Amino acid sequence: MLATPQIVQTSVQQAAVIHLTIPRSEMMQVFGPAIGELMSALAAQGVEPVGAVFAHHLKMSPGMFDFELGVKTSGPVKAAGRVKPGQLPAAKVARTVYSGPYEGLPAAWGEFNVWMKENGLTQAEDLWELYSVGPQSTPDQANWRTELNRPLLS
Amino acid sequence: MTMRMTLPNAETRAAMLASGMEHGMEASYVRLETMI
Repeated sequence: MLATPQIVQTSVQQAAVIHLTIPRSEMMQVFGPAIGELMSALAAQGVEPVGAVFAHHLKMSPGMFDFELGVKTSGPVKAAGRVKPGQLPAAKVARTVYSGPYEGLPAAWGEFNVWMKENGLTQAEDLWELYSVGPQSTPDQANWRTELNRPLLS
Repeated sequence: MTMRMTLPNAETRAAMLASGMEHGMEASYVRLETMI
């Protein structure tokens, strides 16, 4: 189920990120260790993660992921290994929240895309997903919430 | 009132965070690829 999309102006939010450019086939193996490295770096620096993990896709190209895997933080993080200080940008974004299991995410993005087109919105190249309620929170997939964000050019 | 949740260690927390979320990312991307 998709909540009614809204257009919001976001402000810069500090985060810790790992930038990955990998073939789609490698994503499943890379994801877990990257999250581990991210959380270990934060713990070592005494910085608290704020909210859930996000994936900020910088460039969409077939078969390749070019994205930042990150989490918002309570304070600035120092570079350590692959972990870098980063941010979620200040931008005008179209935002919606999808509720349900991950199998429904493709259709959710499809529906969200139609809404943006119907409203005459021009999409920027990047986008981010925030996995606000997911397997880390509850096994009940009906309660999972994924926030979809698409920056807009106009 | 402040509530704090204490987890065993960073690795355990990371495993909790990561388990299954990558499927969401994968699912989304399959669709997003076709929108380029």
